[in-house]
Amino acid sequence: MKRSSGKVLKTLGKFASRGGQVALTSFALVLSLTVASCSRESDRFAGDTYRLPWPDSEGQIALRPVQLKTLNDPENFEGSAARILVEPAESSGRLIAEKPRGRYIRSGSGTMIPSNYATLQAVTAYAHQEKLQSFDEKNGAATYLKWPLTIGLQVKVVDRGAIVNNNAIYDGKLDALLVVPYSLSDLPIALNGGILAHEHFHFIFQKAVLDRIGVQQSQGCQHGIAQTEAETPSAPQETETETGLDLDLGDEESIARAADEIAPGVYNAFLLRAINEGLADFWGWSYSGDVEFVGRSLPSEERVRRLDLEAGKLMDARAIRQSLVDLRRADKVIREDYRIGRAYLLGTQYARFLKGLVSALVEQGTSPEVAKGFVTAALVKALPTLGTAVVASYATDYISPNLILKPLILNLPDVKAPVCTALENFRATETGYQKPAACSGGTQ
Amino acid sequence: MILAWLRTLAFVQILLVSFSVFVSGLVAPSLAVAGTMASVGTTMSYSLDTSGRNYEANTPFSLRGGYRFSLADLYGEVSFFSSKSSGTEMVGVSSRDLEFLFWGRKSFSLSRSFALFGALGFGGHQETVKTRYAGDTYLDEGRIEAVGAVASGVQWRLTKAIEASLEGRVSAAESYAPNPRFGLGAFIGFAL
Repeated sequence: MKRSSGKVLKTLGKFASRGGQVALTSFALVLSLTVASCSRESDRFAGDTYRLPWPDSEGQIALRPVQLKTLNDPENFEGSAARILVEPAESSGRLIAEKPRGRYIRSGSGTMIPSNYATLQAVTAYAHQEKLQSFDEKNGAATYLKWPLTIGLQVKVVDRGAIVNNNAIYDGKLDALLVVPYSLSDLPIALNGGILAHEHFHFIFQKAVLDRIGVQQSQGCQHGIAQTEAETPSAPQETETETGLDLDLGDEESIARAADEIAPGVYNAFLLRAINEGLADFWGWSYSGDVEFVGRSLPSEERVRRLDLEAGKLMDARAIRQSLVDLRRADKVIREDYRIGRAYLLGTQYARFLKGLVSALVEQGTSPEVAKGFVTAALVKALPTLGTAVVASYATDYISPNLILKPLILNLPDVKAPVCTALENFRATETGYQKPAACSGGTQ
Repeated sequence: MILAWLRTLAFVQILLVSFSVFVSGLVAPSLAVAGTMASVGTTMSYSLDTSGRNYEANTPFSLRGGYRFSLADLYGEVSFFSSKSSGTEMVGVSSRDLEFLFWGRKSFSLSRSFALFGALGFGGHQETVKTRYAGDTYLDEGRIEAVGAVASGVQWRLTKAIEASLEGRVSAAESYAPNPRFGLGAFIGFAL
């Protein structure tokens, strides 16, 4: 063994003279290091398959191979659908971060396997953005957005001095989705296609409606982003636009008077927030097919946000204003939290109604998938009408909660009795309401 | 895919040639066999985490064994490193690294007990990933990728048969971040 080793080494020695060995060895080593470090190309990964927690057609999530056509830089989580930033910070109104370092192995079958949890989350979030891009194209919403979208993961969002966990926030000012750390034991939000689609809709609503009135959507209005673990930036100053009231909540006249005093801007902001959240919940369901996608990650929300329940009857504008009266009594922090909570509740009614429209179309004889596509596309087509109406009356008039319903129905291809019944059961009872022509027309 | 394979092949070839040239030069005048050697130790190195802003330490456990010739040491080294599982109760990922390197090492005596050395190594690296989701677990072995390394340090002969060494190391592989990777190693073992 020892002798044969010596022979091999002596044979190898014939290949080079001692004089050139040092230079050649150095050259070879430098060359090899260069080859190793400079071997990436921008598009060599596009079309690769990744194994990710992914839903099947029934919405059941399991580890499955998913082909990503646009992720051409998986190490940096960049492609034409999205740019994923890990632990980003905010600078000059932009989301910035170091170049992320996604880590993978390539299995024997050629599938890319994320080799740590952060990479698994980032590439799964990217995969959903790619599928959402196709979903938007199919439903006519892609033109509203500027691709690639910016998504922050593990973002240290601070709200009133505390780090926020277990949430995802679309920030209209940054035009970015911020996914904060997840500390529960269920499905992490970065892996939850329904919640990502919900937040994705906020990008669309921002562009189609809110940008037209100069309002920027955000979860609450007071968050900031910490750059380090220790840093907890103070909340931006809230502009006080309302004064508190001191009234007897048992006195209906006082409540009615107080409701009339609520400024249109305050009421309209609330209503738009509710509509935005409701349509986003429908978008989440339409994309994921999961009626309880919120509860998959946030079990405490499961009961109030699931979409397979009756929508109930929509309150009219006056009743909505009255529901806001007692909020005016609370201090501004409680008021903001409570108002957001109420907006979600009202929003869930819209989401359930939209899902009910899908059921109504199915009852009319349309297949479930086609019906879902009809309602989703009609929703997108209705947004410009909503935007125009909002621009006209945001600061001066109380927007009708029925406002979104009529353009929605008008954009459905086949309206028959079940759809009209669903609409009648849901819409707020308001004077001057005009039924869509397809539902026999007339004024109530 | 083919391009990646060609690159890996080129990388291995370059390393093989450089290693053979290096060794052939060392052993050309004579090749007296001195004995066997073995050691254990670790090489601490740092790699970037996924955010690209923090470094995390890797401290693999390493085993070495080989021959000590009169002009150079030739030995193999196997290192293992497991990352702790991260994730939630429902989903998580952990990984295990295995690296094997063949080294040629040339020492220069400073005294009876101390020597400086330089070394050149090549070999492969393989990562195995365990992914779990809602009770399902997948175990995937990655492909073996080429690794090249240079090291330099000091050897300290504690007794006639036992010696310790400290070394700085630079190693390169396509998946390393940063690439090349710098490390500091400590080993103890015997050389007969």
